[in-house]
Amino acid sequence: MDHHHLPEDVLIEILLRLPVKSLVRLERVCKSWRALIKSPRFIAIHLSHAKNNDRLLIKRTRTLYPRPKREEEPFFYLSIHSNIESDSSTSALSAPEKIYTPERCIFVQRIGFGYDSNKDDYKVVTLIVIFHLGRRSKKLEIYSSRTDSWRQIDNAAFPDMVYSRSSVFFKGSFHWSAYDEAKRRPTVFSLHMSDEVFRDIIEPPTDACAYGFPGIDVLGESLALISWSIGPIEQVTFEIWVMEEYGVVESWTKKYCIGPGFGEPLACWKNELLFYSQCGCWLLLCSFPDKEIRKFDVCAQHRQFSVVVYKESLVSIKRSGAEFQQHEGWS
Amino acid sequence: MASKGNLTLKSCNGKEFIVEEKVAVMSTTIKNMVDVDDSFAQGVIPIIGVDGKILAKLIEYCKEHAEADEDEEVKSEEYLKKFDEKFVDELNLNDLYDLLKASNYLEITKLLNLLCQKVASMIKGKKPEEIRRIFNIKNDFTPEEEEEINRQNPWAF
Repeated sequence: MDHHHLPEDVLIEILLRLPVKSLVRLERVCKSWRALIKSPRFIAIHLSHAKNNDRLLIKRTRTLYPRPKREEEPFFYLSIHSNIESDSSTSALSAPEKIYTPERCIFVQRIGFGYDSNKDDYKVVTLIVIFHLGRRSKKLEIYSSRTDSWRQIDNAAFPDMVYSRSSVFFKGSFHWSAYDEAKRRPTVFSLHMSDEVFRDIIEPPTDACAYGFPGIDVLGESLALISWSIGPIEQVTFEIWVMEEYGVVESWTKKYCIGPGFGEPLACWKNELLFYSQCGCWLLLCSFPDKEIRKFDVCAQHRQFSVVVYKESLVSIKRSGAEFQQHEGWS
Repeated sequence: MASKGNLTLKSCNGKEFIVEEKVAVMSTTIKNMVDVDDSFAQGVIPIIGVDGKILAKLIEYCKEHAEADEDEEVKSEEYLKKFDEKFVDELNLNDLYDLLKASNYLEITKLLNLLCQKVASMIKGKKPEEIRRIFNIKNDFTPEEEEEINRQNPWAF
């Protein structure tokens, strides 16, 4: 079999089915494969290809019971899932995470990462609130991968209380759930990656905020709010609101009501909702609309899961991690 | 001459196959030919660049899938999955390559997807050296260039 006679569109079809790690390795096969894999066209097709599923990274803490056989057993475990059945790779961190203590405790940071399709630019944004000598100021810092530099915008117009657990990139904007002090109600605001303007156009319906800050996420193809009642875990109920038409406040619809007896929601993954089991030691997945519940084969200490939903990509961000950390805001 | 509802396909080395129309039109290319020109439906359809051995394989695959599309009870999803697995497992590399080219040219999407998945799983996890050997690809990098690629992405190797 000689690949030189294989049509390029067939070779692309084959390569699209491979994970990023394999593709990077394949760059070394020959010059024509390398040129194809590194071409902007292939990188773009690979990112949007249906086979390139949203993956789930789960970090979980070792269970106390049963006690580990050996003390040196890792404290944290990371696993990557492309669906609930498969566990494509599991790695264990051998040491507890380094505890991070900021030297200057005068600011609250929220971080976002998104894509500016106008300029083909990946951006990292940080929202900073500085409390200094009884005065409060806000600023926005933006890192652009295209220019490889940070910019600072003073007097940024975002709400004071930005909910820490809840943010999502969707339709060109980064979205956060927050509390609007002037209106005395929860709000959802966004920062568009191209014009870098804050908007709070997508005010959630009052009912969706009955329990306080709703979590914000993307369920299937829609922006979604997840709110849950406060109380004993066995009585917690949660609601999922979906913005059927993006940007249209009137299109918020209460889609699902779940519980009590399920646990507590954590995040959306594709068309399903991830949540804690009642005991907090298991991670469950609820599919819609049938509300079928399935269990991940991972166990942790009580509510010691962190999850990240991500997509593999060949897009390269030029700057290296070591240089990145030298940015003063990360000191 | 094929009877009504049947089509005659002719390979590049002159072998003729009489197949049901529903089997032949699994190929979008053949479907377009028959739709556009009625004479194809009456006469013989030449399948350029595909020999008798490969055409027989293609027909074997299309027959199973066309029948399954018609009657799900006779050929269940599970049956088809097993058939597909066996079908690709029995192929040697040359046949796999010829079938890839033929299913691409004839636009038999289901089969093309199956074969691409098969090749992808053969490639996955293998070293560049192994892939060059399997697919008979010449290494046109200098050792310095290879070293540089390794240096850029140490995590992948």
